[in-house]
Amino acid sequence: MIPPFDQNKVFTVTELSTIIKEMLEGVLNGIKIEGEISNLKKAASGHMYFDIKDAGALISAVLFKGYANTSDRLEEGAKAVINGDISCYIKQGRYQIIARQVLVTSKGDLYAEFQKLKATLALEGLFDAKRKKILPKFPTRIGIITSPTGAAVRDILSVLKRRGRNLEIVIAPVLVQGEGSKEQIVQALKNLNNLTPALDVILLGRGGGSIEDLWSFNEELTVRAVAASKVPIISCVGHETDFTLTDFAADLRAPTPSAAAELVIENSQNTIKHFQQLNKLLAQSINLIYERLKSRYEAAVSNKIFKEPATLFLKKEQLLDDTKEQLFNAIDKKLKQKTQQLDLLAQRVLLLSPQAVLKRGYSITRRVSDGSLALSSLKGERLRVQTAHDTFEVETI
Amino acid sequence: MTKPNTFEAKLTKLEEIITRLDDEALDLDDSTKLFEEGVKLSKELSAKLSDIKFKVEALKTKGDELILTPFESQNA
Repeated sequence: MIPPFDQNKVFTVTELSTIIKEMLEGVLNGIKIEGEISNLKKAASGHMYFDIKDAGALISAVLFKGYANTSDRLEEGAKAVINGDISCYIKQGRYQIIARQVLVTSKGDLYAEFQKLKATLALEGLFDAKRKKILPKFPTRIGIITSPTGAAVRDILSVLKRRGRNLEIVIAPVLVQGEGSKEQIVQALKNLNNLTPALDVILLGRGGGSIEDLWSFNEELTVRAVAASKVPIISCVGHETDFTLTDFAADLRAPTPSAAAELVIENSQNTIKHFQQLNKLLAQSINLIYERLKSRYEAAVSNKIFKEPATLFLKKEQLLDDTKEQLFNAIDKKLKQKTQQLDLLAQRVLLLSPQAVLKRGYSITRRVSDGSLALSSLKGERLRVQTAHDTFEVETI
Repeated sequence: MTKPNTFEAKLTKLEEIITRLDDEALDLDDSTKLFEEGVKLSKELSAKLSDIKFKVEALKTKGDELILTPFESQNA
């Protein structure tokens, strides 16, 4: 079947894709396949797009409008046998089934039941955003409710082990499908909620499967127990395309079990980053305080008084000098004034003195006999005349 | 809402300290005290973050009692 090819040849992507396309389309024509219909979308054109899946795999399918009348009415969750051809869409590396006929083998009763319960519980507020608990910033105690032998537990543990630190994990082993499964899940939720110290988060899930396989996670009992949990729950049931009611009731939904583990780790790693940031800020804050004080100190010591303390002293001295001078000037002025006044007085006193009168040409006449002032005189009497410059005797005639 | 000794409470406290240290009006004594408190918290948080413990246990019932036993993955 495989055409011989040269092992040393380097293919282009298109060449290889074309070979694959020819191989698939050549061989897988007119095949029949049975599975569960999911992700059913009816385009405006009338074509129906959906996935056909079972527990292990999923293939995209399309039922073109022209074939709709030879097919049953498609329903989400229904089991069906598709008759069609495999077609490759090499531009996107995808393959799909071009259905020529789709016959429903069992109706999607479970899907209808799912929708009904979903509506009831939603109305009750069980899925409300305000009920959702926030995942702790650094979860260290993790609970896992799943099958101890499934791929889910292995996937979760391998992610946690590879990237996590400081983890204490408690696994509550349960049956994830079939008889007794929902009761075990509910009991496990109760048990994990009662542990001390309390768990930080519970991962509840399983690997992929048909709607029947995942049904324990759509049971009212399970959904209510999830909603009632005090410990935050991450629901991770099946594949990305599988939605269960526990997904809606849980605090967080992860598309797969390993994605749930990644969420836990991511949360921790974000917290570690945030913490490292805080540490940096803490170190910076003390530096900032130091710098602030230092600049205040420097501003203070750079003041002139500290730089040239003599300035202050000299200024005062200058002021003192100035004052002193003013004082002396004032005293001097006063003294001069007084001296001037005194001189004037002295002059006036001098003018009044007998000597001054004599200087003006007057004379004092006294009797020679007794020296008394001769205000009158008799003939022949000898008198002594005193002038400014001389004294002489005269005789009255 | 959180207990004072949880990781979250300590982290929140550390955030508060850093905000307060940013206040210019805070005097040196208070700053120093706060800073020391911050360093202490940071050390405690760091110890938790750097713990490399990885313990996996399975929860089992024994009669009415719940017991924890080491978990060994059957198909690991």
